[in-house]
Amino acid sequence: MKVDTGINLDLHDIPQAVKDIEAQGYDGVRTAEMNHDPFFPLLLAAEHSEKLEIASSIAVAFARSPMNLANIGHDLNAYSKGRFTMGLGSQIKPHITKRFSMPWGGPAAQMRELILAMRAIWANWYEGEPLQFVGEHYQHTLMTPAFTPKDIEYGAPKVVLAAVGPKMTEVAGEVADGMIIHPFSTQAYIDSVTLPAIEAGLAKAGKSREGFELSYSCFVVTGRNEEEFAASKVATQERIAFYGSTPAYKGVLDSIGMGDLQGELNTMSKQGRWKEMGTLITDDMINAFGVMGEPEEIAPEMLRRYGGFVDRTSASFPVSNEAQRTAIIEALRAG
Amino acid sequence: MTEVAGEVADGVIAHAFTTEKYLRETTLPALERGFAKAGKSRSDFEISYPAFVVTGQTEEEMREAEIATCKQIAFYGSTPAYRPVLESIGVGELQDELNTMSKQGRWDEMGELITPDIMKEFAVIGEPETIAGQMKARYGDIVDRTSAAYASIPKDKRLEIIRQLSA
Repeated sequence: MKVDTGINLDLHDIPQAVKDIEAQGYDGVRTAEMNHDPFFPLLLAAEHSEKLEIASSIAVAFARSPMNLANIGHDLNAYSKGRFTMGLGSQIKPHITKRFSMPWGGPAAQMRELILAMRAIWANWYEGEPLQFVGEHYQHTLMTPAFTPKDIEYGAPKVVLAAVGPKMTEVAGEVADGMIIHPFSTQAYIDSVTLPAIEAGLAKAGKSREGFELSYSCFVVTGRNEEEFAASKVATQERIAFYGSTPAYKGVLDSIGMGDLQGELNTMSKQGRWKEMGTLITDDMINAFGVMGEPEEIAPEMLRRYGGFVDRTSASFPVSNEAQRTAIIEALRAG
Repeated sequence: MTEVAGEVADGVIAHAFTTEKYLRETTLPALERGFAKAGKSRSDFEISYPAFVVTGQTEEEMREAEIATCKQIAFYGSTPAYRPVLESIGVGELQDELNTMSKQGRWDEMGELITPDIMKEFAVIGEPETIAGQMKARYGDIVDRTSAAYASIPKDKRLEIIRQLSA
């Protein structure tokens, strides 16, 4: 299993952080889109590393047009000599319409079109195919030599899609090169919803599971001592509760018979009772969403549970002892 | 759009595809209207204009620069939205012809329609030593900064132009 880690988005910190991460043996770095642009740090990451794979995980797809994404994907992949993966996610409707002021169609159908549109643009640039993409949400029918990149040696980046629901997951299987399973996923949900939907998508496109990259970053509760363990547990409970308050994720709670909790968490979130929400997350639930135990138990348990279908993880290992953390990473990479 | 720049932006980037006449007769008055709307003055505002420069050390280099510049002017001239710029020098009808040719992919040929008289309206033309002086004489009272490119002349000549412009 490949092991990635997130990098924060302060551009001043990136060069040194990336050198350290490469030296620690990670396979890749990834950026989330929060309060900064997700792509600028990756340009610096490419410049200051040799082999690290660099990925957005995720960039908000519907905040941008396919042409804009195609350009960014091209530039980062060309400059990093083929090390870039464009990780995309839909976000949820209020963020797209109220934060970004962009159109929101049916998210799975719109995402499918967005990725196909990007691929049509890349096929035009790299293979000289005419650009004639006419979809419901996106139309790209104009390209001239002046707007076509010349440095096409490395071609298109990989495109991976973050998905939770069965429709978006099927779209990932059909049109993406891989999928990012949401951390807010249980084994039961992955088995009953995620993997079958991926297979359905792959079948639509006549692709095989081989070559399709699955990334999953389960929750990890651990620590070098009781205090650290307790802090890690509370932080995990709060994150699970935070995700659990989102209506779109109710299906995941249903997978472990806890669907009713979604309404309660949602109500509490609107009252700002974030800390209290975490106390509703039991040990059984933590174990359903991830791995909890002593540092040396983490890698074997992750490999036992997920090794059969997960290609890479960017789970975080909240152990302050660097040797213990390195041991987890090495064990996962060897497994 | 120029008026909007005057009203809500901190500066305007004048298009390279702009004649001196268009700058003085269309761009500046539109900016002034925008300033008036927002209660701003010209001194709060920065005007950037790249300007085409045709220069070289030999006749061959000059010729190459002329061809490249004419092609660039023809490319921009094929855009319907830029017709008023061609009209500022009385050749508006050229836009139709360039647009038709662009749709046929005849990019190289389009440059040949840009006559020396048209080129002069868009570009500063001459020996490297004359460029900075010409640019200052034509645009010095309007433009705050430029990102003109100076063709393939040697670095020391280029730096000398930049030094004179910055002074």
